[in-house]
Amino acid sequence: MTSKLPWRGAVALVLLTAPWLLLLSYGIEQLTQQTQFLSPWLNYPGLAEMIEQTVVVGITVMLVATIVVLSSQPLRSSSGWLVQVIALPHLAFAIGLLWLFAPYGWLWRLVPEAWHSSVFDRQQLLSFIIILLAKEIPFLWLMGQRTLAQMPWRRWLLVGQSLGYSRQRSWWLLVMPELLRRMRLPLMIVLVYSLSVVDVALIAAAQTPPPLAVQVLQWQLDAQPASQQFAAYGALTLLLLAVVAALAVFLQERLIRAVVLPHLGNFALRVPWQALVSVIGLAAAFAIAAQSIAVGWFYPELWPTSWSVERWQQELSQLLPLFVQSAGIAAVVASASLIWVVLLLEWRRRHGVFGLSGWLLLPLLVPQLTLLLAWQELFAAFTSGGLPWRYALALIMVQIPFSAAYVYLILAPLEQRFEQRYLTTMQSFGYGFWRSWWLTKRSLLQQPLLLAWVFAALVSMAQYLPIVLFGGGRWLTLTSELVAVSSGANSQLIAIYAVSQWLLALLFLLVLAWPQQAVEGEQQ
Amino acid sequence: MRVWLLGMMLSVQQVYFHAWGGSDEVNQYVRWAQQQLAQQDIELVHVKVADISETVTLLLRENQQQQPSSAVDLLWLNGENFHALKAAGALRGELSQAVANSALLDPTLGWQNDFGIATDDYELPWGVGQFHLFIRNSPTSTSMTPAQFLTLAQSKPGRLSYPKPPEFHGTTFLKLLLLELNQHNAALYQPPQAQQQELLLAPLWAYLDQLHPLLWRGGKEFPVSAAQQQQLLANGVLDNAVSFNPSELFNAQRAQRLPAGIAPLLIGERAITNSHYLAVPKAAANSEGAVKVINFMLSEAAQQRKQAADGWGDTAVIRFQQSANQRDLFPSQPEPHVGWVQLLEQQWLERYQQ
Amino acid sequence: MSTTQLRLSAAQLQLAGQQVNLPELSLGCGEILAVIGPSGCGKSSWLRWLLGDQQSHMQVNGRIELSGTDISTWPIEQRGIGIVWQDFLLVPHLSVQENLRLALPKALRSQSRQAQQQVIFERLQQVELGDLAQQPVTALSGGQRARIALLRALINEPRLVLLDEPFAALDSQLRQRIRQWTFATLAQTATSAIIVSHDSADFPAGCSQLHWPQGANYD
Repeated sequence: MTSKLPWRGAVALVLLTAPWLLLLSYGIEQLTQQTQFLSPWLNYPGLAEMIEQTVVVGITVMLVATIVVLSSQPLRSSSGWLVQVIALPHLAFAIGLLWLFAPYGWLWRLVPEAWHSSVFDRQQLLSFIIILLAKEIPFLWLMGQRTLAQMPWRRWLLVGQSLGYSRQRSWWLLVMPELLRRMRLPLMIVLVYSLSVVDVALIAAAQTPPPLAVQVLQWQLDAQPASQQFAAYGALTLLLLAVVAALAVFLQERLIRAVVLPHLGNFALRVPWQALVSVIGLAAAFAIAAQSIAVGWFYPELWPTSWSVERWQQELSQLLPLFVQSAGIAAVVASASLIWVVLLLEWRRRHGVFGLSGWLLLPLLVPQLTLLLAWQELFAAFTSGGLPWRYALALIMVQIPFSAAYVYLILAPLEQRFEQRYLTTMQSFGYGFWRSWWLTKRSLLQQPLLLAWVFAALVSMAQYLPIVLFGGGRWLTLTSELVAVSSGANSQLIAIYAVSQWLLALLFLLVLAWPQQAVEGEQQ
Repeated sequence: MRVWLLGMMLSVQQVYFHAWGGSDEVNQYVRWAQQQLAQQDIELVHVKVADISETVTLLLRENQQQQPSSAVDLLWLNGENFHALKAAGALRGELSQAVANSALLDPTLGWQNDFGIATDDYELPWGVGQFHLFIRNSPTSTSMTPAQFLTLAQSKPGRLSYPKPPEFHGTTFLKLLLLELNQHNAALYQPPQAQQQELLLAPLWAYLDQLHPLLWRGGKEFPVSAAQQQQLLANGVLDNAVSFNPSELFNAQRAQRLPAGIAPLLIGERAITNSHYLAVPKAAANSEGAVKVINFMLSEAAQQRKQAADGWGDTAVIRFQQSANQRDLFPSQPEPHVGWVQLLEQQWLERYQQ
Repeated sequence: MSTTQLRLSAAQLQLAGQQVNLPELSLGCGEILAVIGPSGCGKSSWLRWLLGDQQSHMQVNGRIELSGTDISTWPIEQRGIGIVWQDFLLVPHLSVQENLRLALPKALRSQSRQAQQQVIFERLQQVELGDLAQQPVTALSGGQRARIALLRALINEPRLVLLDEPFAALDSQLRQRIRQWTFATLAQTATSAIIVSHDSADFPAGCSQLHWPQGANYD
């Protein structure tokens, strides 16, 4: 990076803003087209309840997750096992949990009838919330740990104790307010994810009426002009809810700081969260794995008629190329996202660019389908009947914003704290900027860089809609196949694809075991 | 990638076939077709989708932007998805001229209308579906009146359900009840007139008002699809499911996806019958390849294999040379006029999703 | 010791609403310029400007001439100016030897690892730090760090080395020793140096001195 940055800056600006200008033009086109549909939309049966459900899910997930995450021990302990639960793909996790715990499920068959309850049933708001919490809390723990690692909280606790407060009280009064402030973004992302998730909602949430995001997708897939217009209004409502969600996180933070924290005293939640969450995660994975080799497993039998890997063998010739293709796409997307974010972060350092967080995190705060349809116009001309590499390029480009957002989330706070004079020193030895970057920053930030890469890869491999809308059938992944077979009734086949998807996620996790260079002291 | 490299080397032409990928039997059948077509230097690529509307949305958008060339060569569809594509002028016409085997089609099967809309040669039938129920520990008869079904629901409260309309199995269930409860009133085969609407729909809503409290979750919640309802049946949550494929139950039991002790059941004496189709987008990059695939799919060998009991078991749409291969269908029940569908869906939502 | 190594035109610094006017300066080969003034008035920023590090919060008008060439617009890596920071900034996850290896001059970078190690070891021996070669830098004492930091800057054979409060992090006893060692080493290698400090005791006798001028508000 030399002093001549303007044209690079311009390229970066165009790349950052173009997707949103497209969205804007799409939005205006959709909204101004036919306003006669507004009133029928407002009278659509169950609309109020859809919005209400969505809000209830969002608020509950936010409140409970905040309380559990910020007040529990895993925040202050090691994180190896957390990532493994996070890596379990959402859909597989939800299928596994429901198959285990819902009425007539595997574990349900074990417990005495007197204990049977339908608290955790399929297509029920509460189950949906529980599944989201079980999946999102580990993510927030991980984010919390990384945030804490950047704060001298142990010193703050000592200060608190030297002033005569107990350790726990000092935690609430000194550490928590700052931690809450720094956790805003991850909380917003979890909240917006809860508002807009579709695949999990389809099997776990109530469907009469469904949460708004599910209905938006159903409208979008219905070719009638009215439905298309309903979908546009619905997507806009989701966008609005996302904005409200961001405000809600602020509001919650202020409330907790002003009202809750001062009165917590020595209170501490002593629940073995770590054990609980790992057990649930592993149980879900195990349940799915068992189902993938089970033949004839009907209520009320505790075990299937037989176990067989025959179906796996049959499917292997399909699975292997998919496995390679999914891994390849995810690796390319993750690498490109990482490079893109690193470039932007160095650009920001040099020129003090404002609002980078906003631009980069926006893809997580806008309903994906709306965004993709807006982008599709740009790529359609490029891919139209073209060679497979064109589809691959389009597919990778549209995935980058989603993966890059997570890369930014993980990397940016640490990068911001990085002592850039390490680079300057290396440059003074005669190394170019990027060589210096490689020699110092890359190795000093190796863990966050790897974690960011892994997250980006996990996000990419779980994408469904970009594959359908931009892959043109030339590029398929385990996830696109999983979603396709999930629309059928063959639970063994569904389990086989879910397990394969999970195995791929675990493969990416191995990257984190990359030989780590010890980093101590000096970085403060 | 593999597909692409292979294609480059052998100058094989790929046909990108978008089709629902939720059924193992269908997927296996497409794999068989792939092997057969490879001998004609055609590589059939099955692009599995969870819902063909995803492809239809894509095609409509491409069509709106006047894309000269589409990523989709061939798709499997029917009903509303066909209506939308046909109305948008996004499909290749005069298919039967290009597909020699279309001469084999059995004209008595009623495939000339797809959910009440004329196909006009913009799609060709691939198979025939007949709506029926699966029922656990069924009573001895193979058919029931709506009243008997209500009695059955009373005898096993919370154990029966149907897919939530506007999912098309769910809507078909409503159509069937509408026909049965009105003794197949001739007005139902005509566009709905304002004065009859209320009269003819009233018995249906009265019936459902009685039925719903006896259903799964008190009729406040419904399965989202026929496939999901089948999973609930397999898991023991429900005692019934619905299907359009007369061989599906047999297949599922053979593959041990559904337990024994479940039997097919008709509501009324006849089954609502409709076809599912193959169509080629107007802008398909490999339109000629797609037509060759359709021709193969309508060949005797392909139709027979499709109908085979140990495979997909989907009813053939052609007349076989040897009539022994022809399979018996349930007696077929024509669809009510398409105008009723929207009324049913709209009013169902207004009544039961508020 | 008389050829002019560094020539600086009169310069204006603008930072944080302050403007500082610096006189013309020049420095001979092997000479040391001491810059003295209170903390927080732009001395360190000025050093980084000399080094070639662009900083968005400061603007400087002025010309830098090193060995007769105008280098004002050159990037850091081409200037051949070394720096020792107040907090030393040794790369924390590397050993002493690896830190020094990174700083080897370009000619040596293509040599075999053994040849490089030989050079590094010799340099460490010269300053009696040979037994530290394998140590991780995090295990070093403050004085050791200070010496390795200077050695790292010098091993690169810069035409000029900048020292930014190099003794500030050391306690007073150690300070005296490291100071002597530093100036001895600079003299030994005949390297020109600019040293910035708020403490006049940090400067060797007889070096040229610049008292950092008072800034004037220019808003």
